[in-house]
Amino acid sequence: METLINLQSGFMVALQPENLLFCLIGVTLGTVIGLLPGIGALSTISMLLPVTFYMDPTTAIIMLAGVFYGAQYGGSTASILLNIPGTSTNAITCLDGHPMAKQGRAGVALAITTWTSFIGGTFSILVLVFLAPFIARVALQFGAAEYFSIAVFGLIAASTLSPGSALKGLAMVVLGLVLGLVGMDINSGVQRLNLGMLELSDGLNIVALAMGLFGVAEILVNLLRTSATPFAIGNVSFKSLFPTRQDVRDSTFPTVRGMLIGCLCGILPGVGPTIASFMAYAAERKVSRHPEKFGTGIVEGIAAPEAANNASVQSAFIPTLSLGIPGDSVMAVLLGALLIHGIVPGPTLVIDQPQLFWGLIASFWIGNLILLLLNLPLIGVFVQILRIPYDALYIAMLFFICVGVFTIRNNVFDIFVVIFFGIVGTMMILGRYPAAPLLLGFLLGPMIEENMRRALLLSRGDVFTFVDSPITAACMIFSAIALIWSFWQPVSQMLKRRRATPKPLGSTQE
Amino acid sequence: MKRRTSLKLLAAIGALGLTSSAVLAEDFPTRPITVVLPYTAGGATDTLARVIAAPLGTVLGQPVVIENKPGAGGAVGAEFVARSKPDGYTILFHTATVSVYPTTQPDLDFDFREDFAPITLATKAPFVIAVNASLPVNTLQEFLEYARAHPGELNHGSPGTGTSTHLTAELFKQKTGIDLLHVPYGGSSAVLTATRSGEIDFMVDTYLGIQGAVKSGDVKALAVGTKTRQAFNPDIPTLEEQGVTGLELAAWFAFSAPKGTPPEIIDQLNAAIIEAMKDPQVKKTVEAQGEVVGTTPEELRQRIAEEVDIWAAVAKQAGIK
Amino acid sequence: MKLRERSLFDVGGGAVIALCGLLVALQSLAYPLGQVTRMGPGYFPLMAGILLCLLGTLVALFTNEVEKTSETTRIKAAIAVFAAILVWALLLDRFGMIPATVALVLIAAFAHPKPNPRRVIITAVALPLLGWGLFIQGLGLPVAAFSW
Repeated sequence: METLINLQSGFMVALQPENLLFCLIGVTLGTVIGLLPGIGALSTISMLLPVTFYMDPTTAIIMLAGVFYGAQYGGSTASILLNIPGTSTNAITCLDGHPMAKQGRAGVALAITTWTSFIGGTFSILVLVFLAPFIARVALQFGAAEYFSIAVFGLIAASTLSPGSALKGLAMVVLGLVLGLVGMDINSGVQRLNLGMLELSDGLNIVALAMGLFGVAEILVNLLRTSATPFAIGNVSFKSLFPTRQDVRDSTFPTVRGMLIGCLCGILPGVGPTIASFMAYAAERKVSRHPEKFGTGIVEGIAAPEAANNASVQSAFIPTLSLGIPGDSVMAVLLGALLIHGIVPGPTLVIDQPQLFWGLIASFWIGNLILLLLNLPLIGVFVQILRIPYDALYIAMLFFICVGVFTIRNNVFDIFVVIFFGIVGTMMILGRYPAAPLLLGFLLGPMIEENMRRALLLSRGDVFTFVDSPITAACMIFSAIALIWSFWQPVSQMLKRRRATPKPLGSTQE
Repeated sequence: MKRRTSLKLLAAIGALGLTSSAVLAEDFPTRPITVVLPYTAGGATDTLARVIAAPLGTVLGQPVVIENKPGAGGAVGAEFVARSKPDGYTILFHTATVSVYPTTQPDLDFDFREDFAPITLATKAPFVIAVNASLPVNTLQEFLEYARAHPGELNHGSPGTGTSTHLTAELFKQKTGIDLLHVPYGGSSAVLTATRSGEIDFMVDTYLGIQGAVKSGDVKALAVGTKTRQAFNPDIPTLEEQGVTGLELAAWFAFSAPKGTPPEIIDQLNAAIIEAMKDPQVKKTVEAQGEVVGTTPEELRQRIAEEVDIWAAVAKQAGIK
Repeated sequence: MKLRERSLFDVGGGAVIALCGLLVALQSLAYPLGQVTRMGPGYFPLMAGILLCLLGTLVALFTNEVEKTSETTRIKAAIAVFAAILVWALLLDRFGMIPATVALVLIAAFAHPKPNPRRVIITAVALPLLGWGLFIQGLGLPVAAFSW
């Protein structure tokens, strides 16, 4: 098959010593910065851009891409060990990953996330190889109405993300939505809720928000507990580093579901790895036979999101390379890097620059393999991070958060945002208000509003635009089902309980 | 390598240039110069700045560092430079959007015409008018007729209300008398995607962004907004050729310094930038979507003043605040 | 629904959320509202604000989750952490990254109930150097190490 021949020549390109070296540098750097809270792939790639000017374009892109997907591997490590997401896309891995670490199963969690990341990434690469042009064309069919319906579905399906009070969860989603409205309204150009501050005219930055809510808040809550040691590690036995056969069995289907969701999310421009991981987690909870166990440290809760975010990161290259449409902000920077070298991504890229295209794809696979081989043995090393005395560790984390957030826009204003949301986040943790739904509302809310208004604008006010295409109709139906389902379950449970024993109202929520 | 020798040549010329004006200014520069870029890294403006910065550093004899300070359509970075010391060590690399600020952001803490000393208009990138390929038109005239026959039915996509791209397109619509529905998006690539899929019928952008789509045939480039056909794609006819005269639609990129920067330093920077833009790498990057210009400070000042009024009028007629 | 038995976080938190919703809704009236089929910039925030207000009120009235713990919370820790970050942000431009980081370390050390002087000093030296090496030298971060 022609594809296989191309792939073979791609591997020849990717295995050239220079490309291999920079692939290694890229993924290692990516893992390290993914590990460090605050600094993400976006800032690092932006900082590396000038360095890549004088490099061969293929080598440059191989390295930058390596940083991008490498960061996804590293990010989960911080989430599991420190309960602080290394990048905002790994926020949801904290929910089950950290409890697992507290139970002494940090090694298991790290091993599983590494494997599912690899599997998720590989799946997307295969899709990229065989289906890229076709899928890219399909992605073009997604207009404003389709994005709206997907975002609504995502929001409803994922709105019961965390255990605990459903009311609080819902309130957090709407709060996040409101925070997402800050800044310029795309449809009218009007500045909203920006308190007159110029720095807010592009909205709150998600990294600053996530680092405040998840990062600083977590550190502070640990310090507020008078004992000030987050948890005792004790002896990490060698055996506890390996997943059991049951673990592997339990994580198989979540991984598969996660990678499918992630691949899909990555292909749609604007839907990124963060949304992908949230949706995968929510989907797992919905189909699970024991949803109440989520959040206590089960493998399904980490396998699915990690497979999803790695799958989405790789599949984001599909629209970028085949159509020249960046899937998210990191892709936009990578696109810029390509354009700097005079390479124009698009349907003609495969024809004009077959070496670059196939070499890059081959390097993805090699990079993921390197990461697998790099991360697995290092699990023992990573777990030792927990042994660093907390009184030095937390200061270092604060520092990395500060630098990382600063590098987004070279503006100290974003650090003030971190402080503000650090305070808010601390209150939230103490008051048991879940932060994950807030982040979800923050991401999906603006997408819903922007696309709803644009769809109505395009349809000249015709409301039926939201159901008249197969995609929109399907999403709306699923949304309705999900909505009814999420009300049906607790209501029927409550009715059952009332029939069994009379209990005072208001004492149990979902 | 060819590049190194041409850089050496540039350095020699630059040194000559410097020695003559060094008699006037104290030894400027004695430390690195910061060019503030009010947009994010990786974008077209960023690329351009970086590609000019390298030879500029050689010409001036001091490294030129790019600092990205994005936000508010360039206003955050501009404000930062407006507040910086006017000693020539902090300058702004900006786009034509500064002429739009008085209309769209009237309550900024600075007024570009008052608080900045222009250095030079460095490069220009003509706007290309592009339409969705499935429209039954092949020339600009056909499109204009089609649009006039279907008023209000076609969609015009822009990267944001009040951006200079949007206003340029509105200017075109007003001058040709066509009525298209404006649909704003959050950036040029979103507009391009929408135009390819048919959600949008008409858009305006510089060539670099739409290159891939033009080549693959997803969009048709109907006209280029300059007087002469452009080297990046000589197949695109100009507006003039197709009967729309008196309009120049182009994005431009310029350097400006804070008000109060000594005129000798402005002149020195002006000469250095023009010199640096002779570097072949610069030419190659610029000519992918436009051309090197290099005006005098006065010409830039004039241009900004004129454009402020033009955009104010366009915005008023289009109902943009 | 006995007020005394419920946690401050539930009632107070809900009230704060409701207040935010109210403020958002009021602010959104300042923007053109438009109609459902042609929404102005104020429409969605208004709806969201009202919904938030409603949810906040419901949370304040109906949730009953947080058990009152007798853990003493140390305000000093909170002040130390936020002051450290604030000082870092303020000192960064004026004095450079290294002095800012040293200040961060020294102030943040007070957040810990029993700061170990030796470890704090080591961190105050090692961390700025690490930051300098990794970010300024390695990644080319456009921040001065020292600038005065």
